Amino acid sequence: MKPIDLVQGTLDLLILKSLTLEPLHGWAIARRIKQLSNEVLLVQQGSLYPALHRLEHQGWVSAKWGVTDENRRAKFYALTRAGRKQLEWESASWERLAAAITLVVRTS
Amino acid sequence: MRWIQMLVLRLRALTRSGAVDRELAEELQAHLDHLVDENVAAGMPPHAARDAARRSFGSVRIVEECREARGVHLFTTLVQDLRYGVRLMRRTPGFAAAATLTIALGIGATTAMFSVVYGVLLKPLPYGEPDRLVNIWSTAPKRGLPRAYVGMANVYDFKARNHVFEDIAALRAVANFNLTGQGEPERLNGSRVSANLFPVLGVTPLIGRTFTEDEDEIGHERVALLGYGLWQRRFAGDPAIVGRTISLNGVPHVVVGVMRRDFAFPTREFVIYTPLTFDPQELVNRMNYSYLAVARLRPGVSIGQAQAEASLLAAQMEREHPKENEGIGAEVAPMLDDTVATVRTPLYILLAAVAAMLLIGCANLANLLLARALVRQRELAVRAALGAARGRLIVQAITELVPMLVAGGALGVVAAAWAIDILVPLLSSDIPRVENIGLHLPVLAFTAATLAAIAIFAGLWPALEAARGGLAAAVADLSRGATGSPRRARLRDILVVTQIAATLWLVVGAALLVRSFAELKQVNPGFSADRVYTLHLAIPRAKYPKDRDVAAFCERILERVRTLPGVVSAGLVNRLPLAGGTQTGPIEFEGIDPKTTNLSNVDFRTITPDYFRTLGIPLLGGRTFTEADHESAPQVAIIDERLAKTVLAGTDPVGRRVRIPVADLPWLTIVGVAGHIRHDRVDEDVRPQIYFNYKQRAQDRMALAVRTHGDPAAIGASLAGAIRSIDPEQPVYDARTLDAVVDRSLAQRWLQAVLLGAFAVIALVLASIGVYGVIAYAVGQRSREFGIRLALGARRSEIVFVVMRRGAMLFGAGAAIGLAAAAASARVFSSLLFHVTAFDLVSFGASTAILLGVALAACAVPARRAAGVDPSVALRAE
Repeated sequence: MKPIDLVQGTLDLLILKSLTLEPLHGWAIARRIKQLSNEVLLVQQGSLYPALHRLEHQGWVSAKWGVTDENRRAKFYALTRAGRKQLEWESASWERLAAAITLVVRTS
Repeated sequence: MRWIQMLVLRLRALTRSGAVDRELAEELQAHLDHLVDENVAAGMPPHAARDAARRSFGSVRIVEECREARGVHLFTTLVQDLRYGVRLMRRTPGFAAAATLTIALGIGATTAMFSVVYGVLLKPLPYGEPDRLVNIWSTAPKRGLPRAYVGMANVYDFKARNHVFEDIAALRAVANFNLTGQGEPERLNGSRVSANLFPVLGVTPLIGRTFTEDEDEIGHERVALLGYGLWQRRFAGDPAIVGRTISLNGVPHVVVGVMRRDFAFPTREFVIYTPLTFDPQELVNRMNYSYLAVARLRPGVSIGQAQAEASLLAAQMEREHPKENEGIGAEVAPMLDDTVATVRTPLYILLAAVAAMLLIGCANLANLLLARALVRQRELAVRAALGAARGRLIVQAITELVPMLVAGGALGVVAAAWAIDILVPLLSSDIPRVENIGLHLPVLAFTAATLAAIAIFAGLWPALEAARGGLAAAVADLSRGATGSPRRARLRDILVVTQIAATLWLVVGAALLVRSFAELKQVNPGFSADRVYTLHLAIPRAKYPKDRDVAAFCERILERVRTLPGVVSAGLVNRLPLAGGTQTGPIEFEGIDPKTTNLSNVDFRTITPDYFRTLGIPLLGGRTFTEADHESAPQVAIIDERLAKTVLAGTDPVGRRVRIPVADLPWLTIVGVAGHIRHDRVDEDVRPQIYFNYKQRAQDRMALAVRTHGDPAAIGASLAGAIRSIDPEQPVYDARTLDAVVDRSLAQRWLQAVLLGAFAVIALVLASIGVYGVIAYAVGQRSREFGIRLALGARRSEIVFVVMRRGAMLFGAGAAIGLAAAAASARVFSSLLFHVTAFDLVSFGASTAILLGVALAACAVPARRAAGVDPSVALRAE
């Protein structure tokens, strides 16, 4: 199956979710989302970095320069406490939305 | 936390945009490298792997979008607009100067005025939790005393029984201390205070300690606390002063501490404190209502609750002591309110006046901006056509104002600081808390808010107007040669109407106050202040313990003063008229039921025989005192004409007897009737007066009045010298001509009238500029029309009429609103008026006439220009 475009507004949720375990750099975030969604969701760099910068400016993630496993310098993003709250809130509202849409779609 | 992070990031994005961009590039490069690695791992040759990675990476817009995500563009465009604003200012210096000066004037005036309002009325008292501090007063409306000090017995009862006050302190606010020994003898204004005053106020001394409870006991009270100012001035700020002994009224006192710099209790006049002792008999006879009671409310207790309990307790005491406490209630008032009660209304009126002035100036500014927006119509139209958002253009229009707001605001604040420095020392001494006036932080916040209001009122409006209508409308306007649309004309009309209304309100207010002041100057106070010099002395009882000693000292002073060249007559009195001090009490007439006369509030005056002659108070019957009325002679008194008329109703008072209704005080025979004088204030006739001879009722605080042949001020130095020659340790104070004393009592009203008058004049000038600008603009717009009319045979007078009619209509609308506003604020004004009603037709009429004259003059110039239009030139102008 071809990867599908992201539903508007869900990118923030995916990014926040991908950061729950550990701080990641941009490329790893994209890879994590791809893996977790069984290669269905592909995040374009063109949307990833503006989103990351927006999240950082909203105080939901914090960024720090670090070194990757491949010994490359990269900017690592980590979830802040406010970010965790935001994630909870966004997950909940996503689930409500998804359930509602499923309900509508399944109703024949 | 989150907000801090957001702020830090935003600031960094703004100030270090280069570094931020470099980091972004590095971050993206790292991502690209990862992609290349991935492609290589998938088996691609390296260069193909790199190309594929680049392709998948997309456009350069990613950098832009990241930048936008950082919220930077808002700031960069702001900076652009600001730069544009500065460029515009340089290009149109006349406009910029006019706008900046208007703003500076408005900001300077409002900032200065608000700094006074804040410092005097709003700034919390410099004590611990000042909101919980209250004064407790006695009320005795039936005895003609709406508010009086409290008696010590009542203070004790309150203390023992109440549940609303943490503690109650008492003080005698007015106490004279003659400081002698080190340098010049000096009379100091001090307070005698109970030891718990300091904990009640929540203050601690700068050095040393405050008083202990023991020191409230008679015999232990010879200790003193110095005010900071006195300590600095008299003792050079020497910390070793604590423990030293100073001589007050000839009695040694040990200095136990120095208060902090901001401690000015009850007012800044007070510089020294000693413990309050009182005659224990007062607790039994429940007399002597001469203490100010200061209390701290328990936490959470409201004024209303405290008042309710105080009233309850007062009623209780009235039941328990029906004779002594009859008709005596209690009033609880917040301390700050009490302190500033007299100046609140005038200060708010002046602030409103300044705000009106600012409004009038802003209307001119809005007019200027509107005119400029019109000139720039083409530019705006083109920009709108190129896709500039309307909101963006509006923001820009306001931002362009910012350089002028900043320059004008800065200029205004500097002017305000300067005005405060120059004017505050000139404020009359009876305005409380002037030492607090300054550019405090809340004042500057107010200034910033005012600037924002100016930006919105003067900037937003024209901006909205300029951004109004689409390109088509703008271009259509242009093609017609920029005649203003009717809507815009209406907008200008509204501005002028606002100006006229605000100006008229101000001019009416000023006229009312000026007329009140003129009326006040007409009042005959009952004495003649002309060529009289006065000074005060506090005679220390330690040195002159007996009444006879005090009287003898007074007699010697008069003997010496009479020999001075230029002296016509000299007299002494315990309280000089209009000088701020009173001494009052009850009297009763022999053979008249005191209940029917109700004379519980009469001015008690102790005088020397020549006092009436010196002050020019007429003797209407009988005789004045003589030196023969000494202590062992028959006791005598002189009453004023008001007592003679109201109590004795036409019968001859001479020979009748009066007395102070206290058990062992003797009856006094009335020997004369003197003219009634205004004692407390010129604008209020408070009490009747009774006079006692100084040899029969000696007083230790006396004022010397000297009538002179020539300039009274010239005699000041020789008077002080004469007194010093009799007693080198006797200081004098408050020396000035009686004219100056009278003027000082009127100083507040004078200042109000002068300030409001000055504001009104400025408002008139500003409004005339506004009217002129609008009418002249309208004439310019219609010059073609006028040309055509003239060409078609209209007379020039008709053209003048057309222009003037428009001015008259604007004036009519503005005047109606202004007069209505003035009438609506009558209630506020009326408390400041004297012998003039708040609806005074003269003030209303004269103000309208003055403004009409100014408006007509402002219209006349453009009207003449309109009539002078050359038809051929006007028609060919296109």
